[in-house]
Amino acid sequence: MNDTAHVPPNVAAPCPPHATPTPPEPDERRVVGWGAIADALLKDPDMLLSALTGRSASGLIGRLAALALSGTAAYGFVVGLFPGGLQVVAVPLKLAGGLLASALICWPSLYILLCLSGARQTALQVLGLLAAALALLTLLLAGFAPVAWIFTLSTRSPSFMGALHLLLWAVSCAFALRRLGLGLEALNGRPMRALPVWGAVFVLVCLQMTATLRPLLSPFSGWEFAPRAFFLETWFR
Amino acid sequence: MQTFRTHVAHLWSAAGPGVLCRMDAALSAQLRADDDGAPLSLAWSLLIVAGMACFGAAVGAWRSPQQVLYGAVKMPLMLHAVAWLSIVANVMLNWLLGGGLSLRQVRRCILGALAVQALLLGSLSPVFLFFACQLPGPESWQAPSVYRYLLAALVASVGASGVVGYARLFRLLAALAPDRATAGRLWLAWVLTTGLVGTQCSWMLSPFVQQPGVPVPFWNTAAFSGNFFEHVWRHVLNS
Repeated sequence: MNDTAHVPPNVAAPCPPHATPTPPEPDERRVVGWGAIADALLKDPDMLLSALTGRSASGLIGRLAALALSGTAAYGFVVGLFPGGLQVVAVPLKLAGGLLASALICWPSLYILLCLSGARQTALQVLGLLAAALALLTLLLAGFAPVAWIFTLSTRSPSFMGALHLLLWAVSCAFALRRLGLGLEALNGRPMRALPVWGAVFVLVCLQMTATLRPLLSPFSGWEFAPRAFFLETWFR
Repeated sequence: MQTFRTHVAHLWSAAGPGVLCRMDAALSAQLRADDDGAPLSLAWSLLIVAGMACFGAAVGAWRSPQQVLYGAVKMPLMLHAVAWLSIVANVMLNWLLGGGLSLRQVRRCILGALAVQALLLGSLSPVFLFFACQLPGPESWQAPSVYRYLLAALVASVGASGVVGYARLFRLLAALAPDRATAGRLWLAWVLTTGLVGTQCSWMLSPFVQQPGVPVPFWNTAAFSGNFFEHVWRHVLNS
């Protein structure tokens, strides 16, 4: 007679005495909390890469996206302090929404260009890597926020503040794109030659987003979109 | 329903965007084997339709809803016309130049290259759509300059993606032809053939973005009373 016949249905069989549940891989365990994610973004990108290509990647992608959006909103709060009033609330929302929209607009081209460069990642893994790059970008921006804030206190020139925000964003973006390139190179064992092309597209979309979401540095003028315009035209008008 | 899902999953894993763009040794081996195990031509034809329809619609969004519809129809039509109108000539050139490929291999190579182009353009369609919806519209006073920029972006992206697609075609031919020199000759011959057909097809199916203030036609109004090269020649003489 078969021994297992005595086990009633829907009741888990007892574990053998020495059996223990499979522990999560070390890299996955260490990037669970928000602090661990920020640490991994800044200090240990290899661990983050292995976690993003591991089993619990989708949860991590969600946390990275949340970090990116909250970091953008935090920086947006400082941007909104310059015009003041309702912009303190509106600009963080606009910038977070704009970052999310830019990422979604550019994600398909990133995936296809990486595939053309020989990358082996799936579309979801590429999304995770993009979320990590954006989280790093916004983490750096949040770090620069006090610098921007001190200028907000003293200057009244929107042109100067616009140029300063653009400079800080450009520095953060350069670091984020560089880290994305290095991470992909580490994962695939070869440089991703098409990544600079995608970087240019992403920057262009983000810059146009500043025109779509305007006004950012002048007083609040309602929630509707501003008239259609190319970003350079709105900057130098 | 389950069978349909299985078919789609099989198609995706054998010839999906990732597989096609990476174009690794497994795909080359599959093409070299020349069996009818996976419907690669069907999969890549569908990718051409999907990618180019998205791109055509995104570009046309700047002009009008009618242009969106026309673009979504005309762009895939153009690439399929290029593939199917040049296929007999390409098969013959393949035999004459010593390529030794079968009709199925030629068809798969051409459709694969065009599908890479379509995928690249399709992946850029959200970017084009965003700019088409954000730049000053066709009714604004800046419309003529926006039209020129949009047209330049359209030509540049179609051209650049075509270069990428044909670079992939060379990689395929290098894996399938007897030697690299033959692959090079064959590639050049196919580029010239499909280029010749492509210029005429794009001429007949233009405009993909009609200039402001003029009704949007489906065909080029001069499509059946001349050709691309005559048009260029007349421009040269008049300038």
